[in-house]
Order: sequence, then structure tokens, then C-alpha cells
Amino acid sequence: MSIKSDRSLAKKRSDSISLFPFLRHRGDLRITFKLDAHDQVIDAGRTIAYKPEFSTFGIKPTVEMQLDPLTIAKELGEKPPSLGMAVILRDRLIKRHSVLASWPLDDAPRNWTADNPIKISARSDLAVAFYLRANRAHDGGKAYRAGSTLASASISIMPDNDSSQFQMLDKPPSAFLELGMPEDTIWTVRLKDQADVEQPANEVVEIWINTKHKAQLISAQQRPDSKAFVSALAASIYAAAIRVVIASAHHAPQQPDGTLMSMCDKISKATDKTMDFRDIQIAVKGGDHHKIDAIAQVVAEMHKRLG
Amino acid sequence: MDALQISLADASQVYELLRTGKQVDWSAIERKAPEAAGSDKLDVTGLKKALSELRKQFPESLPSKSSDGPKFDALACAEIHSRLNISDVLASNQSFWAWLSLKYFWDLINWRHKGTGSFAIVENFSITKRRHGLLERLWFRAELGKLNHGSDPYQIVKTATDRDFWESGIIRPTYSSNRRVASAFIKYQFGVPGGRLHLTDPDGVRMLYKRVKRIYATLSLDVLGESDAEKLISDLAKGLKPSDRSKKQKNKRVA
Repeated sequence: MSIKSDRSLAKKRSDSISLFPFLRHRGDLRITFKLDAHDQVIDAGRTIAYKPEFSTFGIKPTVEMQLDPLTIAKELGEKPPSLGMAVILRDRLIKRHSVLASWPLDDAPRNWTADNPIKISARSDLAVAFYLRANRAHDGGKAYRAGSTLASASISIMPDNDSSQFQMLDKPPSAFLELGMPEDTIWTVRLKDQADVEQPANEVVEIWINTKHKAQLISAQQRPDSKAFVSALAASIYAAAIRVVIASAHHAPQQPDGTLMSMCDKISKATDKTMDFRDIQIAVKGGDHHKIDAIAQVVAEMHKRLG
Repeated sequence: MDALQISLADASQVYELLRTGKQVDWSAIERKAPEAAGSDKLDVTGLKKALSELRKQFPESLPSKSSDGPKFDALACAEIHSRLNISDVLASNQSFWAWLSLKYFWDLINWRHKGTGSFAIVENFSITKRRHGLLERLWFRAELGKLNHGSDPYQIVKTATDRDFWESGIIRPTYSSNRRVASAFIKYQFGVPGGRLHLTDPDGVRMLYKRVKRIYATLSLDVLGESDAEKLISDLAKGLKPSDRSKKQKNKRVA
């Protein structure tokens, strides 16, 4: 038993998770999900909007995998019998993770549909995970413990925009001064007390709006070009929130949760520039400011519009 | 009784109205909770009665650092969970908890959480932070801490009073969503009276929270069976500081 070696395996897991984009790019792999209450085929890595009927009547998910198990095993440096594949529902609000089905990789079907509808809450992930089936001798950097995750792909089901908004609080200029910020600061992002950075970002942070500027913000939103303004404001707040969450985490999350992915989508839309979670994570953690230029431009634009 | 809900915006206004002693027009703001199902059984009358009986065993006012508060929580957990026999999908609806807390348990929650102030703060009524409201928090504590064997499934929930263990170690972290891991953790720590690992020392049970969190990055806890989960927790706990009581018991056995 070694805590240290488990820690070093975290990097391996991070590397193997990136296997999926690589295989997908090469055209070797496509893992898709379908929900009976949702018309579209959803590629792994996407986020879909939650509908209330998911918790009333449930969903019957289908998972389709287009790849030979031998290729997966080869890319993971394993043999098919030593690997297992599981379909897992991670319901975050209910606090229940359930294995819906699992197989040795050799026996895994290419298409699987749940037998019965499953009721889910407004924040769930549906994942396919490939894992080590049994303990084996400890061998350098290789996973050795039964259950070790070698790769995974998932989709997130998240509330519509209205219910995933950040909590906004009106604060007087003096509150900003107390934080050592100029008293004419327009807004800032704060971590909530006792925040658990593993939770979605909008539950972890709150936005402080300076009461001195609130009237300006409202009037700016009412201008004819308000749509662009609101998008820009939202994008800058999302970007700041992501930075706060990532900077506060003891370790970087290995993959984005649904909220972060949805934020990345919004930032991309607002800026017309492709922005994915990894770009932001690398930029923030590596201090590479060139890569977050797009975000900075949005913030600057917002300040310019406010005059 | 049907499970209803009020929007969180309405809940904030209701909180202000109740604080200023004004009447609330509940029928104007109540809606049926969309997650409610025929199988949900809410014995609100029984729960109110049971909790007020329980309250009589405690002082009239509870200072914020009093040990009576956690003792009340531990005993109230089992009552709340057994009398609110609801699906976990309904339990995930914060608006349902806000309705229940404000409409039926205003006095009790103020008694439990007001400390030296006049009223408990909004988060104790499930209006702001998720799983911070008294009823919601204690329901989840019993839901995760209920064990499926033994004569009393709530035995550990009723005797383990340490609030930090339940909130920082079980309710808040993601790993406890793997129910077998949560059960294994609870059984490991409170399978012995007084707790196996030290509750407040940084190298005690608090280090175990971190170790489980860390291993979750590399391990699919979801696919572990019951015995694998128990072995994992006991492996991860090696070398951590035992509680004073379990140290004394060990010395006694050696002597």
C-alpha cells in the first residue's frame, strides 16, 4: 500500500483520459450517449440541458461504442481480460453513484440500453469507465489496484441557464476597500465560506456587485446593444469564476465537470473563439497569459463599455 | 401529506416576513414538487411531535458552541429520516426543504441555530447553501450513515455526534456518493465507541478524508464491492493517529 504511488498514478490517469480525444481525432473511437427523452445523439464530453421530466419519469440511456476492445486495450497498454468496462451514473445532487452495467472488456457490448427508466436530479453525469479488474503486482508506474481508472468518457446533464446562475450580492464600495481593492471596482468573484472546490463552480463562488455601479450596469443592459454587453459580462464573470475555482483547488481537477464545460461553451460563444477547459486550465495553472488573451479582451471590453 | 415546494426567491421573502412577525400567504406561493411521487410518505405531524419531545431533553437555549447542539442533531437524524420516507430525487430538491423548514419547523430551527442572536441565519432553512439547512443536512446524514445490518440501522448515526466528521468527512466530499465507500468509512471510524481515529488532530481522521479524496483521482470507487471498499479504507487509514479512547483500550488489552 503506497499513498505516494497512488499520487503518481494521478498523472497516468490524466494522460489516459486524453487518450479519448486522440482516438476520436484518429477516427478509431466514438462513444455516444442517447437518452430516450432527448432526440439527439450526444458525443462524450458534451453537456445537455436537464428537463424536469428526467426526475419525474426518468431516462433510459443508451451507450454506443464504436471501437474494437483490442484497440482500446492496446492503447492503454493492457490486455483485454484484465480490463473492465462500466456504465456509471453519477448523480451529484442525490449523492449517489450507481454502476448501471459492467462487463469484462472482451464481453462488452457495442450498444447498451438500460432496461428501466432511471430518475435523476438536475446535476448528473453519465460515464463509461475502463478500469483494472483485479489487483496485480506493483510494477513501476502501472496501475496495480483493482478498480484503478484507466480511461473514462462522460456526458453531463445540467440545469438550464436560469438555474445555474451564480449567486450575486450587492456590496457597498467599502466592502471592496476592505479587500484591498479600489472602491470603484465594478464586481469581483469571491469563494464562499467553507466552499468545497469539488462542487460545480456556481455553488462555490459568489459574485459581488458594487452598489455604486449597479445603476450603470442596469442602464448598460438596457441599451440597444445589450445582448453583446450581457454576453461579455457573463463571459468575464465565468472566466473569473473558473480562475478562482482552479486556483483554490488543492489539485487541479482531472477533467471538467458539467458546469465548467458549459461555461467554456458560453465563453466560446461570447468571444467567437474556441475555448475549452484544458486551454483555460493550462493557461491559468501555467501562468501563460497569451492563451487567456481572449478572456482578458472580454473583460477589457466590458470595462470600456461601462466607461 | 403531499410534498410541496416554494421557490428560493419566495423562501427569502418568507424568511423576512416570519422574522418580522408577519403572516405568510402560503397558498399563493406553494407548488407541488415535480419530483414528488406516490411512494413518498411525509409524516410531518409525527415528526413535529417527535422533535419537540426531543427538544424537551435539552436546555431552553443552545449557545453556538454548546455540545448539546450536536447531541440533539445526532438523535434528531433518525427521527427525520424515518418519518420523511422520501425518494432521494425529492431530497435533492432544495425548494422542497425550504418549504418544509419555513412552514413547519421555524421555531425549532431558530431554537437550534440562533445562538446568541434572535434568529437562525437563512442557510439553516435551506434557502441558500445546499445541504446546510437543518432538516436537509440531517436527512442526508442519516441517509448516508444508515447501515443495512444490525438491529438498529441508525445506531451509528445516533451515537456519533461529531459534526465535523459528518459534514467535512461524509456529506460534503464527492467520494461519499459511492454509498459502499461511505458505509465502509463510517463503520471504520465509528465501529468502535468514541471513534477509531483522532477526530481533531490533523493526522487523525481528517487526514483520512484527504487520502480518500486523493485516491478517488485514480480509482473508480464506484466499481468497488463492499469488502473491497472496507479493505481500501482500512489500508488508507494505516499510520494515522488513533483517538485517545481507542489508544487507552489498546493499552488495556496489551496490559
